[in-house]
Amino acid sequence: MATSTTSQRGGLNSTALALIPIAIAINVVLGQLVQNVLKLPIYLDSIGTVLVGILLGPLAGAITGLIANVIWGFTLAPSALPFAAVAAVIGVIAGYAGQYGAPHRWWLMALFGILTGIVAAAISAPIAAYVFGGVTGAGTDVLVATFQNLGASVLGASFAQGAVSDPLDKTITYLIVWAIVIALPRRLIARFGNLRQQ
Amino acid sequence: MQRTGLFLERVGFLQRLNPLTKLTGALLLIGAAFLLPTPLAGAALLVLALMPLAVASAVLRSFVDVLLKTLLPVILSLLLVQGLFFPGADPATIMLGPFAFRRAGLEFALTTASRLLIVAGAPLLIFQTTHPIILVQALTERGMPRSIGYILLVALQLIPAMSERAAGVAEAQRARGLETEGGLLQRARGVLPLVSPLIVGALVDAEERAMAIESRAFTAPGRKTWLHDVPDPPVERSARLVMWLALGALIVWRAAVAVV
Amino acid sequence: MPDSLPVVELRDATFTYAGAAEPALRGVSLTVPPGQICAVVGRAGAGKSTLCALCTGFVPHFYHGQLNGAVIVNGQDVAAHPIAELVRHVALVGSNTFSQISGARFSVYDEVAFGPENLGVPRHEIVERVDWALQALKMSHLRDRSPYALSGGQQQRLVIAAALAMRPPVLVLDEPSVQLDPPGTEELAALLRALSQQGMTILFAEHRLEWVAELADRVIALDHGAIIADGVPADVLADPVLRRAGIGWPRPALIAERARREGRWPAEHPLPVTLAGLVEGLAATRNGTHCEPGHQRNGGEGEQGSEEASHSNQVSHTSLHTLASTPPPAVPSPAPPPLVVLKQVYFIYPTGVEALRGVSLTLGRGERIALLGRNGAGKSTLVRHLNGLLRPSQGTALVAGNDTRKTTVARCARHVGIVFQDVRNQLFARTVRDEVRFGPQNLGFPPDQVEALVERAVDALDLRDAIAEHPYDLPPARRRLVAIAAVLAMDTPLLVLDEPTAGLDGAGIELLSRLIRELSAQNRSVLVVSHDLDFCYETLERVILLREGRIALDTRFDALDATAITTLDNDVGLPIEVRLRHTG
Repeated sequence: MATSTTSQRGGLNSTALALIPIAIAINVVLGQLVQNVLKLPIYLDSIGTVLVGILLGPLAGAITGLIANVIWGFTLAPSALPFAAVAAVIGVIAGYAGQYGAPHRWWLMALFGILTGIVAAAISAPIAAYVFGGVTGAGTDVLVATFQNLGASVLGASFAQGAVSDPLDKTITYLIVWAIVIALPRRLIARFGNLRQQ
Repeated sequence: MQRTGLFLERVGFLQRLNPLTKLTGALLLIGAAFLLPTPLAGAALLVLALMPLAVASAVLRSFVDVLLKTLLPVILSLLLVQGLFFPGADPATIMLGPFAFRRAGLEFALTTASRLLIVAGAPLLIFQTTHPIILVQALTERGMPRSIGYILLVALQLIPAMSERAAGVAEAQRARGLETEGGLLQRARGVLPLVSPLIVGALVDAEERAMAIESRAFTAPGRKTWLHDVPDPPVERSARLVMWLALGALIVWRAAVAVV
Repeated sequence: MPDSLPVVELRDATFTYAGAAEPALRGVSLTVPPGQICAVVGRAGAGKSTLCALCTGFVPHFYHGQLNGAVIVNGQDVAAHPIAELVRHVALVGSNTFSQISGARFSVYDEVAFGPENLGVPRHEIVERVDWALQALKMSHLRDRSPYALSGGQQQRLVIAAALAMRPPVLVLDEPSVQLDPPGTEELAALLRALSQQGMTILFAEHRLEWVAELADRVIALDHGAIIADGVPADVLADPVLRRAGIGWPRPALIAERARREGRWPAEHPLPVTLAGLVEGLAATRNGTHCEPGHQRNGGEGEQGSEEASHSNQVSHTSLHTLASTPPPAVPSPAPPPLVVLKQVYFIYPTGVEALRGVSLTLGRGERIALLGRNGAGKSTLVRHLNGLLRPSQGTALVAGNDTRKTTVARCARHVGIVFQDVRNQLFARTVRDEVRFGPQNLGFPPDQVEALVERAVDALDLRDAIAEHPYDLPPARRRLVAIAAVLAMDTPLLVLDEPTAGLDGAGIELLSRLIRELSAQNRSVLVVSHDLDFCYETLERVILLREGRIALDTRFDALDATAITTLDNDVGLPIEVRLRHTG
């Protein structure tokens, strides 16, 4: 019974095609849920991207991040578009975290969270600096002002700001994904396929 | 029911154009905002190009609305942060009340803000005047993988549904005694019970959705048809060619100036 | 193809899911001729869904495993062809309509066209097919609507239209009635009959035996993956083997069997499986039998019926109405203080919709209450007022004496537990035990009491064997039982169940019915919101009917008078036993 109907067009089978849009919606909706219902000072707007990366691999993760930002631009804030590349890289890293089997150890997930945060800060810094002049209109702009006042360049301050807030947000994101993935039925994990089994 | 993002059901000039023409135009405008030598190029293009187009497409009011709502905080922050804390040795300042604004900082802020108007405004105008499915079809016919268009359209429609689901999860768990009010720690404890059912339920759904995708032959090999036409008249093809040439000329001219 | 050739043919098909110890289907042989409506019944986990997936190729191409034997559908060897090819021969429609709407198209018309587009059908032919499919489902007038703006029943029709546009000669439906209300199921039955008359072969898996009896040409009963009965509904659905297997019988058969035990249904008459058959059979034997008062209610322990007195005016229908049993008499009148009191509650949503318009209600201890009403009558809004999820725009809601405006939902949860209809919104733990533990833990019971409550709830819902399993590894019907156990364990004086019987098999429904009776015997109360009128009638005693945000009826099932019956019938219909009594 080897005939597989899940044809690999562009590397995406029907399961990926089904999961990715849901994950994108999760990104958008959870960001709102955490802030509106629980009123916690974190964003958690890349849980879906990290989840897809871990379950389906780097390519699917990248597509999730990329399109999530396009959608964000489509529906709410066109200014999110330039950061699509950052979201894609977050998905790629998560794909490798899955292949590495990171979800089997919480501290590995935390490490990947920190790593993702630093990489994200590094890639978004030039975009933030050159397109947005270092600011986003959110509370974190105070950090940018502080770093510049301490003598940093616009680019330097953008990176420093990201390096302070991104690793925290991404570590929490990874730990939440860890808690969810270890509680998934094995049958489902096998269906998605990227995550290295223990 | 608003499930089509920023798209507005209006009749006008941009609504009749092929999405590729609009995308090329946006690219040209963004290029011009960065390449033209004056700091206020972006603002000028907004007034001279985007706003007249918005008028011709009957979306001016919501265009300005959304643009202001998304950019105003950024621009204000820009002026404050870069005006007051811009790095560099240039000592020139402008006093506004008790605050000493740096001249170079204000210039930087204005240039950036003016470019932002186009970087955000041009895509916004496209989204407001192009039904997502037309955009996807036009791009797919030009070689974008079908799966990318599929994902984009489905995600767009799923967001309201997932929102409802999230509200349902919050109700179900609060009914089980989950406290979502109280101190920070108390609320942080609520994250997993609220996030988990949403995601696990979604993963289970994904399996059913995958079956539905195959049932509808989306993954079947072979030629596909489109029910509707996205017209692309010769005029528009020529217009795109002209715009590409203009963009090329801008880049060449800018490079030449830089070398000299 | 000549009519005699079967369209679906299984020869000794056995399938074992990858990683499973036991086969899900064992030696199934089956031939379905063209145009037949063939129903598959069985308990949860008996293999119904696997059979549906096998006939459409999802087993073994999507759900992998070991398949032995032959499966031929419309001349295609299922194992040898990918799903992408099989979709031209057979279509699968699942019970969860929401996940079957592609979401890639923005109108009903385009959604139906999506499949043919993917098959590369020429444009003029797509238009023809879509027009035909929409017409067949009587939804041409909805063509420009967003698929997500349709009602549940309309979405179900849309999904079927989308399948039909692929022009398959065989249609397979897996529990198509789960999300439908009674008018919706009737519509669906009419549609499936019309399709079969046009030559389409239909195979469907289903729990609602009364519906199967009305609709199917043929019934196949599965137990543990093997066929235990196969034949026309009249034979199979009244076959004792079904009750031994825990599948049960349709209500008309149960009622007639009870009559037979009491000597009011001739032993030589076969048991009827449809209401029409029951009425007819009773009419035929009416004159020859004697009515005995005080007959026993099915499953009721020694409770006496007494409708003789209340319906003595309907002399000519005596034999009919004595056949229908009466709900048991009330438990001693509810002792104060009441659990929930609503006083002149109005509720207006931010959208401006006025969902409740002056509802006053007292829920006491030991009550068994049915909350009925059409979609949009305000049932969900009312339920959310019982634990403070929603607070009255005007009027007051008291939960255990506390005004919900001055307390939190988490505190109300000590007194009122609610199990919502969509079980997925609730389940998140790794094992059934952890899931059930979550509620009592939140309520702050001491650890040993939490464990005791968990154990009791797990046993009450017959989940002992699954306690260490992942809730999502259980069949959907048992997942619902887990969700109920999780709220039951919170030990609240009032338990609210929203559509608890949806998707449950006969054994599950019986379990639930028993549980509700036990709770009320312990002076705890249960309020059920349901479209399943027969379940409500057999298990509950008080009936509250909501209409347009107001209480149209608040009485007891055993005190229904002619006006009340008309009111009920107009809004939600009548339970079989009440209908029987009043349509001689």
